[in-house]
Amino acid sequence: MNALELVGVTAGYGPYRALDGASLSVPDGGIVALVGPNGAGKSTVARVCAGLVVPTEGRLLVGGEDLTGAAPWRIARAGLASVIEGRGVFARLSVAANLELSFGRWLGPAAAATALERTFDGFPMLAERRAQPAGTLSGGQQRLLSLAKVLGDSPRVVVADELSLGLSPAAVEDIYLQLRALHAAGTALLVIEQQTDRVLGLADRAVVLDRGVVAFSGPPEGASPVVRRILGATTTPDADSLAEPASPA
Amino acid sequence: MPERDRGLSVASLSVRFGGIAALEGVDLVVDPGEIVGLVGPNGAGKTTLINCAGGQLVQSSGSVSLGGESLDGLPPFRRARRGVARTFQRIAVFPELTVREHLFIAARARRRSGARWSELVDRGRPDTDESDEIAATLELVGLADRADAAVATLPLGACRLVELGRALIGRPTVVLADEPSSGLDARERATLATVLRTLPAQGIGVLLVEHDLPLVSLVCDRVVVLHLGRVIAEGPFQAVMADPAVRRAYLGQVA
Amino acid sequence: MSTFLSYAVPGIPFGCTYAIVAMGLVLTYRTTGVFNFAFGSQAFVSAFTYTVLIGEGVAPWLAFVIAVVVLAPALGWVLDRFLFRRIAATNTTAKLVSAVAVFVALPQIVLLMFGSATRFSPPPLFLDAGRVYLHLFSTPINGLELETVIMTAAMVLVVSAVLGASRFGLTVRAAVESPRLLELEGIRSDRVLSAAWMGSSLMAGLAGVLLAPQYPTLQFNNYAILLVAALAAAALGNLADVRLALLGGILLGVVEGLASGYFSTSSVWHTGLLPAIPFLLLAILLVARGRLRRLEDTEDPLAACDPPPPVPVAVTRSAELDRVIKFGGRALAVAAVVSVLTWVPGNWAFTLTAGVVYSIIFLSITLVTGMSGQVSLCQATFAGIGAFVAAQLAVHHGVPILLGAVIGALGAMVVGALGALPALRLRGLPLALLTLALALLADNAVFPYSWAGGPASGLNVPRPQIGSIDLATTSSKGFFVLALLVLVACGTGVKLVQRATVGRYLDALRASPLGAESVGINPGAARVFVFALSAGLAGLGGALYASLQQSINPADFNYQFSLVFVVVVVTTGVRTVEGAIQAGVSFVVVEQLLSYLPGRWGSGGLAIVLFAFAALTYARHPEGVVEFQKRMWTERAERWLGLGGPSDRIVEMATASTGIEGDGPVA
Repeated sequence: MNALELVGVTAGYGPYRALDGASLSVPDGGIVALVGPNGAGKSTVARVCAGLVVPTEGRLLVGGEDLTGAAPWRIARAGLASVIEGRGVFARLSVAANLELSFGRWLGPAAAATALERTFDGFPMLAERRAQPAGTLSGGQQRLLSLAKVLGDSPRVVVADELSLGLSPAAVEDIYLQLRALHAAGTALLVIEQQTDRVLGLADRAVVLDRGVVAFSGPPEGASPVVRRILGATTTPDADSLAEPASPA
Repeated sequence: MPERDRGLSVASLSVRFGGIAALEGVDLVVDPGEIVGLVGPNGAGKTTLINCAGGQLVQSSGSVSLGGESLDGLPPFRRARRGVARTFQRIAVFPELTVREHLFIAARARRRSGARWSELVDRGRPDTDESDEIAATLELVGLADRADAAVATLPLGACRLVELGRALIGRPTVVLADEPSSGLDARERATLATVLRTLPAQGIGVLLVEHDLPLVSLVCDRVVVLHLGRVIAEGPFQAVMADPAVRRAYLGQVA
Repeated sequence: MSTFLSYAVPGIPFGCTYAIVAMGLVLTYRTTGVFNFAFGSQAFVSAFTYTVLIGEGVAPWLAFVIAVVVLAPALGWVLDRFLFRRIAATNTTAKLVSAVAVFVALPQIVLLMFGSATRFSPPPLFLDAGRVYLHLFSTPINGLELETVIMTAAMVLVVSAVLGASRFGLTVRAAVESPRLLELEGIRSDRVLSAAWMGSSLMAGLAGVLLAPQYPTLQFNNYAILLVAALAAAALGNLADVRLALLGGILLGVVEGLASGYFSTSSVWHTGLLPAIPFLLLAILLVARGRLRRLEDTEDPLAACDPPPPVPVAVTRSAELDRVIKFGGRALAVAAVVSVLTWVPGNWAFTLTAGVVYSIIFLSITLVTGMSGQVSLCQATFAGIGAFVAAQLAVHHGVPILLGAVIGALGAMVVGALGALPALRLRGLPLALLTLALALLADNAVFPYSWAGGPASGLNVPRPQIGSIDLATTSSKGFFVLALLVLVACGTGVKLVQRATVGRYLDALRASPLGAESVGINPGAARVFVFALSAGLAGLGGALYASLQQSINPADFNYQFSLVFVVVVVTTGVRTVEGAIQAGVSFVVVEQLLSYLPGRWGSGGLAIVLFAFAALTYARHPEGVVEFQKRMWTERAERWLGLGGPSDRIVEMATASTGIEGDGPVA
């Protein structure tokens, strides 16, 4: 069964169209990487999955249930957890309150407390700042908090947009370890990334988007040449060296 | 430390939020024509440092100066006119204005030391010098073909380049760039790297906050590593990345 | 010492009235993060309903249940469901203007339904108002005072209990910050927000009924002033600390008690300073307190999911249509002017002249709100300054009225610039509250003097005389021409500024103060400039208004007009000169048309209600109703004519040479 499925989705913002009949699916327990250049429609896929942007055509299915046009809270209750691009935290609430809000809904008070402690073990940095308003954290720390909110419980499928954006190499490594653990516990993943190599190493399938259309769908090894071809026209020696993963020299 | 006469100099800078020390006695110099990378784990105080230099934040102690003259106590707009330009981690563009208008506003606001009465009723159009400057900057950041599009309609990568162009117009002494490559794809990062590499020749100094290490290694002359508000290493890229303390704190690998 | 106590003690119960409202505000703000501007009106509605029901012979307990337990939460639910929920979380201006619209419209709706005859306040709920129950430091305490103190104590318990229940409060605060982000957690933000508004409204209703017996008659104005005074008390506790709000309220009451005791009733302190104390205090706290400055200063992390703001249709419509519309607009304007000068009857000519004068005042809002993005709630006060300066100069010093109008405009300009100085660090809601405090300060402590606002019977203002042309007769169409010329000059001036470098700077500051300052734009200078220019325009319009009406008094320029003005202009279209003129003309035309209605429906309240209802559409179309309708009709017309559509043209402009469509706009 597919944990998440987009069928021929067309969507956009006001007069702008960002997706043009895109289809992709994430099987239960699978990991799909979604890559492509900026402007290809990757973030729009994430927003359609979360219910933040309603497709003008096509369907959205979560766990086989048709949730096209459903409110974000219904999609969330169907077991889809979203990590939006940028900072998905409540700036005025404390770090602990942000986490409690996420965990308290799904788990009982006791389990929520356990999840909170486990999260603080996994992210000592958040534990030190548990009473601080989340808005006072640095950009990268807020990003980690919004990931921690999702990692704490075990949803059916996680959609993470621009996963490693603004994170230090150590933090990226850490997040990927935690994602593997989450996946091992049975959660399906749709990971959207700018830094393609690392995510292609994690995934068992890859989808490449280009100008709102699916340009490639298949095994991860096949994705890199497609991405290179799309970026190809303007590729310079600089671009080649920069397309390498952000790992230390 | 010898008195610098032209670049940006930060001396024993400390910032405390409530009881927490975000920066603790940081010293840092960016000379004209030099690109300095500022890296460190999330929450190390990198953006705080840039905010202190740009005037968006007031430090608890220490000082910031440009060309030997103190900037302490000056509001951001006065620092901008003195030659401190910056970009923002969370972009701060003017969505309804076009790319060209962004550059025009920046060119004029930075050049004029004070408001002039004629600015109340002029046509709000660039003069010849400004037009040349705008055209050159558009070319530099590769947005010439989208110059008249409202920025709200551009993707994130283009917006970062708009911000960079807005910071560069009017030849600042130093540019504070806060994660400019964040959210850019490979093609856009290549443009960014190209733009950054043209700056030293124009005598512009850059303080580059980045997690994108290939970009840092490609463009930076020198790298400073910040951890828990202190400088833990400083020097050429390869040497700094080989430092065990840096590997532990930043790269997440024990050498 | 005993004199001191005999002045101070009566201040305590009165201070408790401030404290009750202050605690209500704090509770609402703490639990919802909403600064509920409409609180005063909601309190009035419940108090009014309660009084009407008592008057109909309904048992007090039942009246209390209906007015407070049923009606107030229902009102809160309606406000949330049909108004506040539709406003984007980050659109401070829309939130503020909508709240102001509710604030002015609610009392008018009640008065339209039940009539505005004087109603005497109901007795206290439990105790006998006249009976002295005990003596405190040998000062008698009557039933009304005792009940107020007891109620305050009860309120403290209720508020503490509610704030103790943290889980719900947490959810509400999250919902207020970003309803969509909360929905991603699987929580229904709509229900959470409804509950929050119902709770806040309940508090307002409770405060309203408790406080009604404090005043001899039931008047909305008392509640409005109470709201601002209570806000000063709440501000002492940064809108967050209940104990400080309580203390602040009581202290304010005691200080007022002492002041009214020690200052002799004829002294300038008694007439000038005493009524101004709460407003002065609020103004000082807003400027001095860091946390108040950042009130509601928040960003929606999901703003990027919204479509980009619509591009003004004048930019995107096809060249053919543009020519037709511009020509048609000019023809219409010429036809209107010719009509007024020829066949239009006298009373309508007068009305349209007033419309032209209002347009000049409304242009000042185009500057402040349209260009700098700030909401000012004291534009009628600036108009009043211009009017009174011109009138006093004309009446007492024989200065020609047109010269006086120019001097008045300059005077308003100076006051505007001085007023903008302390406001340099404020924006959004705190700035709006500061301007409201200034307006109330002028209403209560400046305009009532005969050297300022003239005698209570009104100031007689002359019409101008230009050479041998006398514009004195009421039906004179010469004044229409004069006002029109001034309007054209002012409108052209505003357009020039909009297009000039300064206008670009203001565009930048409105969009992102952070970004604008980082390129060298001085935000303070721009702010002072806009406020001064805007105050000058309002002052000029006010002086013309005085001359048109030939008689004015302070009530013509009180704070309520400032509120109505903002609602009217913002609803019509605050970004353009055309919007201000359309607002000015429709304001008077609607009022004149409604005056043909019988009885209380023709009294003017209905016009305010109608404009407030128009403000409901503003929540959805922040560009203004007129601009929205223009876009819709243009879209239709172009499709019908086969010219493509504005939407297509926008997309073309953005993607012309790249061929890449945006993956979502950037907020």
